[in-house]
Amino acid sequence: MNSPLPLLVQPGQVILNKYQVLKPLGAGRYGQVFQVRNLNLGLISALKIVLVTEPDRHKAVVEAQAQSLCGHDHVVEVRTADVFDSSVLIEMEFVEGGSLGDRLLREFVPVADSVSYVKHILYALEHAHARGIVHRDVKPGNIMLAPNGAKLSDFGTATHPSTGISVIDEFYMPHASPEAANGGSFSPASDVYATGLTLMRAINNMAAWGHIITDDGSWRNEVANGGIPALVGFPDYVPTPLKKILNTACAPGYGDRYPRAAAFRQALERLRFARRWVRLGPDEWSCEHAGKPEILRYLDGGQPRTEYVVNGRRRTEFCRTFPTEREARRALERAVASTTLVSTTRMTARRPSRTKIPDELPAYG
Amino acid sequence: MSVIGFNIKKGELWYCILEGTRGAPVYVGHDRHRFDAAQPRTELANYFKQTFSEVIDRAPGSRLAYRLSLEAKKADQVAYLTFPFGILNLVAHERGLHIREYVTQSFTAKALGVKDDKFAACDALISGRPGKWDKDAKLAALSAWVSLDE
Repeated sequence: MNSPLPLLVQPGQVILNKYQVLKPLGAGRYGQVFQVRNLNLGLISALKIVLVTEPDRHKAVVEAQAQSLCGHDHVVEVRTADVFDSSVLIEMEFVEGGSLGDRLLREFVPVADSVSYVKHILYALEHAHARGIVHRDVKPGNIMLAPNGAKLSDFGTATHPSTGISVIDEFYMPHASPEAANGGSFSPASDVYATGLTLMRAINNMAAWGHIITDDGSWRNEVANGGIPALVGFPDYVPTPLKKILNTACAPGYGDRYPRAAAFRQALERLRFARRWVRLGPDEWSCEHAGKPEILRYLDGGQPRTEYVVNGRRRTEFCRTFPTEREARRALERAVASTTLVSTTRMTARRPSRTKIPDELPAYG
Repeated sequence: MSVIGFNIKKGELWYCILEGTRGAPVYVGHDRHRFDAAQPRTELANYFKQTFSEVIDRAPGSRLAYRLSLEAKKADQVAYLTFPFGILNLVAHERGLHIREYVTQSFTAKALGVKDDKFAACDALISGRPGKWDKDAKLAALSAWVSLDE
């Protein structure tokens, strides 16, 4: 992350007699994040410095959210908030593993891992939604990868639709659902849309937006029309049941989408992963299945072909020749897709059965 | 005071919420959550912790009850039939919620105050019940039912 601003604090500096700055971790539109040592508690923390016009009000809302969300296993813990020099300092749990966005930049993230992370985040969102909080900023950069799973971070743009309270009247535009982008109508379903889009980007290994978000601003029309998911698309290695679930999560129509994070998560729970394929390069995939290494690869020895090797022995299944390289590569990815999930599972994208349980969640507009 | 009853079989977690009294139980709702019974133990444990918490959040202040299956004969079966209720007890402890354990044999005519078969009694005596619900949902309901105040 690059910031147009110079560093707000310097490594070595001590702030409020409490935080010793260790190093910068990142920066965004609203401020910068540093790794710090909390000198009073002897803890390593992440300190977010947010530049706002009303720091006292911002601090109060952050503290209220922290109180409301505290203790959830899949929410990054907010420890304290302070006002300093017209900005708000938010001390948070430091997550060593960095974000999903960082991991996408570093390496190929297997589909099974991405789905697992998103299931954790959907638990966090259901927890927040049950307390009237809509996140509005679900994206790979706000999914922190801790040793015990993924954690949702940065409720800085969250809103409470029932009261209208929010500290910043902005949100992450590229992941905004059409009703949020057009009318500012945020609900749990708009977080579901953003989470679906996050998972689509993760399975595409799309750390940055590339050609989709361009300087001419035309992408804003796509956001308004709900066209971003179609632009992101699905690579051939994605299993069909997962595509169906994501199409429902990212449906442009509010009523066609999973209404709640729990419903989206339950659909994902129905996927039973058999293989955690890792893409080693454009020509080769590998995994371990039933204790044996497996390789699927594209070979171009005169005629394009695909090869499937289990425990060092070539298997006839998926070993074929093709008239063109394009067809062979496509078949390779389709072989990955067809073996990723347990094949005997009947998996559909249908919603969980409706129940008579009264919805304890507040009504959203 | 409402009671959430839980029942687990391979790949399916059932819960049912009842209100009222043991003599006049009232159906509030039920649902089934699917899970991958073959996933690693740590992920399975996290699934149950988070899902139990999510269900309890939707009926705040409820008491908890569950049917413990005694059918597990293999380690894998113990992992998805028995371990989850250890986690449910921990969640109850952390939240200060009252929790009761039952086995299928606990659901006697005497305990329920009925003459019929226990599954038929669910249909006959739980008011507001759904038109169709299967035995697994009823086992969750029975756990909640016997935990209701007399």
